[in-house]
Amino acid sequence: MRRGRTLGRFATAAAVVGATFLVFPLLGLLLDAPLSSTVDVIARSSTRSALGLSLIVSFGALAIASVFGLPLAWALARGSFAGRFLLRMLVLIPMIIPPVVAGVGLLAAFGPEGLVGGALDAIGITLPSTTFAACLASAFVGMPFLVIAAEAGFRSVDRDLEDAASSLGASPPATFRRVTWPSAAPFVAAGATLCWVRAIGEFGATVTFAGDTDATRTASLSIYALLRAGNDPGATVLSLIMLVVTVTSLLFVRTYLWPDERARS
Amino acid sequence: MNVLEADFTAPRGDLVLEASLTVQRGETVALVGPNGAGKSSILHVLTGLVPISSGSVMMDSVFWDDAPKDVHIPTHRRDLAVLFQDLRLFPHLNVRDNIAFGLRARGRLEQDISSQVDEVLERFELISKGRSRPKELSGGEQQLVALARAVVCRPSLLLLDEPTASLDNSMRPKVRRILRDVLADQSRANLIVTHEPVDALNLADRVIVVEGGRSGENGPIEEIARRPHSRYAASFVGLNLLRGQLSLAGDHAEVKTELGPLYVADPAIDEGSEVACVFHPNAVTLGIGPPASSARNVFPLEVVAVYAMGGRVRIDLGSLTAEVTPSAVDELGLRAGTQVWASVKATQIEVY
Repeated sequence: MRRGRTLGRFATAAAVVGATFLVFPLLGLLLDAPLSSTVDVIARSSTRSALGLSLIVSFGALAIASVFGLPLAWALARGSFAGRFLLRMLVLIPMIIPPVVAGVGLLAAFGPEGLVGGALDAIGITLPSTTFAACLASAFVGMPFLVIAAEAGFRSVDRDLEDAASSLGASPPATFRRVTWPSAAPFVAAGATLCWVRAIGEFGATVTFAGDTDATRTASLSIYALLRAGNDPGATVLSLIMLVVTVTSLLFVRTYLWPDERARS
Repeated sequence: MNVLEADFTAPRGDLVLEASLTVQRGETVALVGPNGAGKSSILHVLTGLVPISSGSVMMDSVFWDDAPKDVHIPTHRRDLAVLFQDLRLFPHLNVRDNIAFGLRARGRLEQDISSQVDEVLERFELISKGRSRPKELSGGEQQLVALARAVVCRPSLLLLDEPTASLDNSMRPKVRRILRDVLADQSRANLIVTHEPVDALNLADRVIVVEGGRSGENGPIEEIARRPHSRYAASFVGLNLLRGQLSLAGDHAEVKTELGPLYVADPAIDEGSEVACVFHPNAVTLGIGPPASSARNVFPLEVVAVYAMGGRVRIDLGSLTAEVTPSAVDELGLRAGTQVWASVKATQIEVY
């Protein structure tokens, strides 16, 4: 009894420390933000170009992830081919490896001396240092979020309803458009939001693969550069903006999209 | 003229479907049979959702399935509509859009769709429900919406899977009335799966019995009621049926049934033939001990269940059903598990 109570107290104390540990940096960011200089920082052209580039890169990454990730999710959900289980595991890897490792991998594949990069180089295409490379790096780390959620979405669709649609004369594309897609859409939207959030914050893979140039300096890269340059309020203000963007997206997903009862109704 | 001509085998789980059926234009055929007999699977084959392994399905002289030539017309190109047993209404669409689904798939003009949907909503007494989602409707209303969605496409073949099974008693008369109205349309061939004798009698022109994945007896229900050939068909029309081989011995005939030898009046049928022995449940007399009378067909059996049926009571004895008066139930103390002696007079057994 006594022993149990002591353990309980210890667990409570640990939980409080854990919560504090997670919340304090966010609190610090809020308290540290010098309101007077916020307007000042936002007015800088470098801030606006970094935020603009972040938007371009994150949406570019989302576009790449959607074009290739949704068919992949469909194949994983509905296809029957050897190695599907293995493929499902592989797809998760970009989510869990250190981003810098992802960057090294991308270099090994698409860098000037890489597997595919060599061939691209020969026809005059060099990916690193371009905005497209930043998009690729972000797509690489963000795509698994989209694929997993979309696969779950496609799986959740009631196949009997698809059969009912064909019995009413709907062709396979029409059945997809009018029955399958509306059922899976909340899942896909949630996955797309998570993919986009992951992409807009991307740092490690981007800086390793795409490098730090004017064409690749997104908000994340700017924050790091500003920090290294010295005591500049820009890093804090940009960080705060990123915090607001990501938390808002998370709330959006939780409130409207994540497939709970609300999303299905 | 036959509109639908189907004669096929198809694998279906641990069952092999073997069906042979035809439906004429303007005709309604009922597929009846015990649960798991393959009735719904036959509908799924006709719909094109289950491939056949041999034989063919032909509709309006066009092969929908032709196994030897590897022909398989996909579901969406078959001119049919289905009322699924589980309805399968689209949960994300309201009633109007559910009903309009097939018309949109056929590329009709929006204004025509709208007027046809209005018409069917009125005919099915659903006018006030147009904007409701399926889950806001009662079970009976959902049934009507699913029926409306199928009928509004004016298919050449209408397949109805247990159209009254999931209804509560208050909705059943209304749905039956609308169903009869729908099936009166002479431009279409209709196939109904049902285990309700009332529906087979009221809605169908002809009955096909399906058992163990095979289609068997086939004919107007009156004919099947008069001379059932299978145990299921007999019980479907409320009769007892025992099958066996006929043998003749001196003054009497006898059939070797699962219950033992059954003495029957000489039926003037060749000795050795497989025959059906049919008798009404009220021809079965029950007693607690062996009867003192001269009845020779006496079988010791156990009561499986007791059902009230109108003013009479039906006693399920497994291989036999007896019909007795409520007072007999009290006198004999009949309930599930009671051991009884059932006797049947030879003269009350029809043999064919």
